[in-house]
Amino acid sequence: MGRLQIGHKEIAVRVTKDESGRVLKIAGSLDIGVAEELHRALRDFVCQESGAALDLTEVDECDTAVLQLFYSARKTLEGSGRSIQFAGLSHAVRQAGADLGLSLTGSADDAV
Amino acid sequence: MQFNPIATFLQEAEELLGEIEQSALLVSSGGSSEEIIHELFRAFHTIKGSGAMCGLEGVAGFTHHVESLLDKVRGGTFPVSPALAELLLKAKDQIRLLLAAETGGAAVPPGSSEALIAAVAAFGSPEREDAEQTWRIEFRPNPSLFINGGNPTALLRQLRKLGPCRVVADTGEVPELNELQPDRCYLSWTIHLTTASDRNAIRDVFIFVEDDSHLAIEVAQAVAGKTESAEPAANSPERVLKLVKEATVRVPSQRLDRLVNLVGELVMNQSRLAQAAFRNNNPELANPLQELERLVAELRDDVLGIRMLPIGTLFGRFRRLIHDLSKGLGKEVDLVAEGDETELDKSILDQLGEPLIHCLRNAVDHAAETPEERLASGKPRRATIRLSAEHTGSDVVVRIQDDGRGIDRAAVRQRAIEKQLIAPSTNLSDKEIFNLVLLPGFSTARQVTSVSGRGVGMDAVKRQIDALHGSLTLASEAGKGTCVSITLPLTLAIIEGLLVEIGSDRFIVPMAAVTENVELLASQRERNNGRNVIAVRGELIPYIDLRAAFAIDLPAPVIEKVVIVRHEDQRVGMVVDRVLGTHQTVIQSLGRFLRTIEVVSGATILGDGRVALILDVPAVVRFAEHRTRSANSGIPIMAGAA
Repeated sequence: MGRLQIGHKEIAVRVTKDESGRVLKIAGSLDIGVAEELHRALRDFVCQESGAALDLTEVDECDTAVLQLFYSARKTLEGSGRSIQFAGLSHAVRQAGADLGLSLTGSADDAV
Repeated sequence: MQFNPIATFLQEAEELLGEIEQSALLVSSGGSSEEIIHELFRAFHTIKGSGAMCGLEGVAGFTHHVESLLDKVRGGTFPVSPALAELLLKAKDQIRLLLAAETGGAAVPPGSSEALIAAVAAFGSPEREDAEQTWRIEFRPNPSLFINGGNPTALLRQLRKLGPCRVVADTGEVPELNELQPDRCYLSWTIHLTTASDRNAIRDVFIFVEDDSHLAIEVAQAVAGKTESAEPAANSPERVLKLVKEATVRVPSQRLDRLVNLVGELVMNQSRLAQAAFRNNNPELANPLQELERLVAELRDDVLGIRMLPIGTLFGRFRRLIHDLSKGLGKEVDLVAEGDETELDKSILDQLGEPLIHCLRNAVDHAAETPEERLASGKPRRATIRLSAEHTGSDVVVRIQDDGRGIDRAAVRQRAIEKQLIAPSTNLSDKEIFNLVLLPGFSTARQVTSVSGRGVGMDAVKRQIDALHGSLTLASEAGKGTCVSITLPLTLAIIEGLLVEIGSDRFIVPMAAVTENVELLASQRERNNGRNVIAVRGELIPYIDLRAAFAIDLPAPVIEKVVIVRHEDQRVGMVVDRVLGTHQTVIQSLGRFLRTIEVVSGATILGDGRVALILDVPAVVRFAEHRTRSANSGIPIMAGAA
């Protein structure tokens, strides 16, 4: 797993393969401070793959800016007729989604 | 001028009470926006605070209770309702009484404040206060929310502490990754919160992010009929309320009056200077004088403009009048005001209130039918009185139009015969019959009510309008309604006049009334049915010989002039020796000894220092008619010009 050092923070980003294509695993404490780097990583990831999966099982913290970023990734893929799978959501991600009334796993149109 | 805090407060309080009345009436007629309630709260709050500062504890103490109730309404604890509006109107009346009492007026009726405080307390009873409500909250944060350290997750968690929430994020604005700026917030939220907390408690959660964000908090039940438009509709009560708020500087009206007088003096002196320069044939003065004339004219227009006020300031008062009158008489009447923005000189507005009140009282009391009567005759249940104002040339026309039963011609005619105003055999046109209503002491109301029919008839209204150099006409259709039209000059300070001469005396005829001038030869004088008439392009126009009327002994020239004026939709001539031209007339009131001269409304000083009297056209017509009646056994000089 590669590591991204952003200021004082460090997040782990790893890309692995599974049957559906490639899985992007993101771990660590995610907030606005890492949003720009994460944005770049996600953009690179989604533009290369026909389908993709995000593994968020090791996300310790997730704020609104990051959840918005994940949602945008999903919208990007779905917008070009591809799909995204969330291979796993940590408790922190689930909690952030519940707090914000934002579903990453439902349909993009339903998520409003 | 020494600053008097109590006088300033009383002036401010009067304005605030006016605003309270307007807002409460909007609530009464179904308006319920947050903005109206805020306006009401702010007005009561200011009266309380300023009253306490001025030591008017009675006012401050009473107002405190109403303010507290409004705070709860503002917080959404109690709904906005017509019952609330009624309570606020009563509270406003009580504050006016308290203000009068605390500043040396009559004492308020014992127990009246306490009774109202009890009513306010009952309205805001604790059991109602504890009730839970579901709120619909719309939160669309500023896109810079993340950069500014805002954390929606924390906000929403805090909101959940107030009660159960259903939070739905709106992701519609979130772009795809290529267009997304990760530090911008594209999300917004709709939240349904069920809580016993009030609106302010909910708003407090958003206190640090509210600026530059969109935050709407509404009781969920009230949301059903809500429109999506952010701006109130052009004619909505909220919009009207917003329009009223303008940046203003408070200036005592006496200062404006003094300014107008000074400008008047300036106009007269500029005129004298111009005449002196002309007499001395001094070309060096020509250009500076022209420039002075231009500047004085601009100054005059600007100063007169400052005194102009929208007629809406007057119309606003009548909503309460109609509300109270119709309620008292068991009728359902709506007042529709149009042309609120039409401007009139403040001095005219000050004197226009009473005549309009009288007309509106008549419209509610005599013209409007009961809901049952209206339904039986196929009309809408609620009567409508349309009060409108519009500019027509240099005049303003104010109309009071109702959709009531109309003037009963037979009853008017019968009454006129009983009062020996007309002979039983007299044939009268509709217009002439309506004009009978304007005669002194005329009333078809057999019963005196508390609303109208108190011995003050339409003649008083007409006299007041005449005094304002205006005119009044009536039109009516049986079963369909009546329209009272009042035509008024824009200002009473400076008017455009026609300078005329009779013998060695000069007079001003207001230009607004003048339609044309024609020559009069001795051979053209005719008498028709005892009236002096002149034929103008085939039309026979009655004329008044001012030389004879004013008993001026000097001989008349061979060719005289007839100044034809319009009076109450009819043309009448006034014979003079010469027409000297138009004149910017600064109206000066007559002194105590001359004020009883009915046919003149004032005087002006001419450029050569001479005084010219300003003719009051309606009064001249009345005067001439009276003389003619006396001489010709009651045949009027102008049919219907009573």
